[in-house]
Amino acid sequence: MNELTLEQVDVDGALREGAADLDESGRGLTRAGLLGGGLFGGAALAAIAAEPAAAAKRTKGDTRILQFALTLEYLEAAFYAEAIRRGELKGERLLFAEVAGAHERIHVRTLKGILGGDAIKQPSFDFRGTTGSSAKFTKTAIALETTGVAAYKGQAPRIDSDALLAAALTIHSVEARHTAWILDIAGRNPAPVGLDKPLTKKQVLAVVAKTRFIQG
Amino acid sequence: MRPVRVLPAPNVAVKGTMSEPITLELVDADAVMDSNGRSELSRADLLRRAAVTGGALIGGGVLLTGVPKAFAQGSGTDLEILNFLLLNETLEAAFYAEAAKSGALKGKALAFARQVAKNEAVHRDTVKAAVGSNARAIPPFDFKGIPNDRDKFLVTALALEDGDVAANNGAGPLLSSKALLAAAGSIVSVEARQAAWIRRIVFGNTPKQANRQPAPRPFDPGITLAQAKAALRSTGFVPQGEV
Repeated sequence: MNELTLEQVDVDGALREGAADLDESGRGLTRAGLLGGGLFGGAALAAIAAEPAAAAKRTKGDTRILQFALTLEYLEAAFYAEAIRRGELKGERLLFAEVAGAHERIHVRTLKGILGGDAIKQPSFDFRGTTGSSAKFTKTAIALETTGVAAYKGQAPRIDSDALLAAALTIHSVEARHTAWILDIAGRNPAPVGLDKPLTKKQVLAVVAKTRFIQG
Repeated sequence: MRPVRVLPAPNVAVKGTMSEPITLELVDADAVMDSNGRSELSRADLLRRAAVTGGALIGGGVLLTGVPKAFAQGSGTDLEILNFLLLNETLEAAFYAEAAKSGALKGKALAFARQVAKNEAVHRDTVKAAVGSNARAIPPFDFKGIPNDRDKFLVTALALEDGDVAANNGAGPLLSSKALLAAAGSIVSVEARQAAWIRRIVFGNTPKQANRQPAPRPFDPGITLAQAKAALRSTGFVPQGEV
């Protein structure tokens, strides 16, 4: 497997390159996309891609965790996409939705790529008007991001594969950045406690079920 | 020739060797221009310089020298990782506490320093409890006046917080204990929140460039324990004793 070189790690261009690479290929993740582009999950993800045998040996537990993560990423990506489409956001909220949304889309493609044939399809969503105003958007984004962080945190110790754990951690902290970002936008304390708590899968699914965002 | 712009600075180059004095250079690679509008210091130059001096680029999302393959290295026992985290969290708790009471900060920066001082103290105590009687002694710190200088404090905090995320993400997969992984997980998301928060303070509310935004990348890569130690060493905050 080729090591990533410093030249490939280009912060300014990488996100755009990576996103373009993923979008344009239409095939989801390509090796070039993984190694060259904006995928700083980097060494972890590149190794997963380079070892298809490892994917074949993935445990059932890890498959379930990846599918769970994919569901949440689908949800977040769709939420941000709809919020942007509805046109009620501007300034810092719009920037947040655009960037966080782009990240979630990349997370979706990454997880789908890892899962391969085990990837679940995107559910249909009804965001019940929460994307319709700046205030509702903000409140919902805070809830979704906070829950997403807690979900990854709850699953991390249950992941069997070290490579997948590394990848999950690279996503988990980005979701935490999103959380703090939207909290700060809302004028709230971005990091009010020293330790963030995990949620179990059951707890997360209960939270999501209460929103009734997922149809069917 | 226009003077070098010090802030806002997406990249903080931290370098030093045994014989050179340790300096914290605030370098905005994109903004350093000569009078013809050509960049005097391209990003490639910056990376090469950091590599040559053996220093480390922290912050702005640029990886430290070398390529992290942290999850595969298997280096660093749980105890080695814990003792590094103990040193790091103890240092940060002290650093932010000093900044909060220095009188140099006000408004959002002061609120940040106060909250983060509390959070890092919790982290320190959590790691201390985990390491127990196996704790290595903490050497004295020298923060070189940085907590008393608002601009230098802000940029240093940015580098520290982004660095913490990278160090924790690298360490996580190396931990053999699930309990420790859970504890590290509860800590790293707070570091990430703090990183996003300080980025908002330093770069404002609507930065156009990804590397100035609260979440600069879709993934936060981990760094190795050796890289995390090198980064801490190169700040010069621990002048004696081992990092």
